[in-house]
Amino acid sequence: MRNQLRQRRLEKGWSQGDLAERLDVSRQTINAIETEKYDPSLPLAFKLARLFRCRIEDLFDPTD
Amino acid sequence: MDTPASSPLRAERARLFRRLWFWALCFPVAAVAVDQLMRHVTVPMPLEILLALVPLAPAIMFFRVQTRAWSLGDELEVHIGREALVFAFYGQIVLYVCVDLLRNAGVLPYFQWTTRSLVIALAALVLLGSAVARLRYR
Repeated sequence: MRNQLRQRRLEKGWSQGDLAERLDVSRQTINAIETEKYDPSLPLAFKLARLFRCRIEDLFDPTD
Repeated sequence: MDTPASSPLRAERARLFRRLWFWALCFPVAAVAVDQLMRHVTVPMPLEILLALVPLAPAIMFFRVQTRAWSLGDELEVHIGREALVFAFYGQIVLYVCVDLLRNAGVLPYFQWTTRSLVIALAALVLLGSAVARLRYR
């Protein structure tokens, strides 16, 4: 699924490791989401939206 | 897998990982020790049964810790683990049928599947499945 995670992360000046630590996931998970190889679970998607102070729909785009 | 060390969840995962390896090593040590003991020492039947089941204790602890680690695991790791198990399950069936067909065709020499060989094949397939899944998500 397309997402804006990388852009949002870079706007905050965070590395993938920084973001992973804030979310209690591995850096590999963040990388897989950013490269669109893996879609996060709903709880993780909500955590991401809360962290970036936006809606899930603003972060993830399900249309191909 | 690199995991930040600062959060309590990370510390718990690291502790579980160490316990997992401890029980994984205890099982073969216990199995070999009991096997050697029973070869050289004659024990009464009830005790023999109890002794034969001693390696079961570290095996049960390994499964308990593995289950706990699974529930606390990073979601991508859990996903990769699930894919590895599916790969191993169907891979084992394919392997079993292939060996049988090749044996019947005379390509392979006579080979009898034992519990040990099945477990080793399954473990190898889980590791292979995990490696393939990790490459996909890298």
